[in-house]
Amino acid sequence: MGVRDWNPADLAREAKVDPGTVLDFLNGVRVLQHKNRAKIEKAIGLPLQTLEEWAGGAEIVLPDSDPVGPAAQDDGYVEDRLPGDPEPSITDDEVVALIERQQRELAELLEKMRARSERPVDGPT
Amino acid sequence: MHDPRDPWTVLREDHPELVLVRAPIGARGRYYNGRKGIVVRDDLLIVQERAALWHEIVHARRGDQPCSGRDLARMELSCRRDAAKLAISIEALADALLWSDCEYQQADELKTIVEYVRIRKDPRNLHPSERGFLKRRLAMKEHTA
Repeated sequence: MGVRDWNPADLAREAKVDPGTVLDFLNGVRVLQHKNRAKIEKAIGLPLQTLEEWAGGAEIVLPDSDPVGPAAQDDGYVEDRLPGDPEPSITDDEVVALIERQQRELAELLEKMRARSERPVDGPT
Repeated sequence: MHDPRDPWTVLREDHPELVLVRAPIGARGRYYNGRKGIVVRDDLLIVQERAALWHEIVHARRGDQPCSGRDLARMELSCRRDAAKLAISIEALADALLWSDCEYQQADELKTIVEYVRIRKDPRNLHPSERGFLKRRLAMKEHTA
């Protein structure tokens, strides 16, 4: 989920500010304190002061990519590391490369199977 | 909650979008939500891989996102609890408890790891109906002994 898909609760969670603050800000009933404004700008991936500029009439342009937030964590993972587990002897990038290779090979295999199933069966000559 | 299938079958049947990779990652398992991948350490015994896969399948079903600190600890704790429930049916747990008092033998009988047996039989993790079921089954043993 990217920044553009966030609802106010997502934004509040990502920015670590009170949801009421976000809602009041979005509804135009509250002016953000400096620290909350900075937190929201950081969560969305905007340069500091951007919200103030927007409020002053500057053109609103959202970042093309999400530098922070869930969408930026495509290569992120959860792992259950327990005491006594050895140190990894492979880098995170290498693991991602292995996943990509496996996905590629799987896609190729599925494509071959699909092509084979669509090939007409030769009749007796 | 218990799934009578093995986790490899569950992966193939319920999560064909996920790939399974074995690599020297240190931890027993990892779940890459964005990459749609599960990675398990490549030197695990089959019983350990089975347990690790149940754990990662729980992450996948929930769509868990990377996090850290207290959130991560809480997520992993509940994930282990659900994984143990997926791995061990209450009926099988009762049979194993009746068969042996040794947790290692119970785990061996259940084809899982000791940690999951401990989690599964912990009264705090049992549904009241499961607690009642175990109590009745174990009482039968004492009665017949």
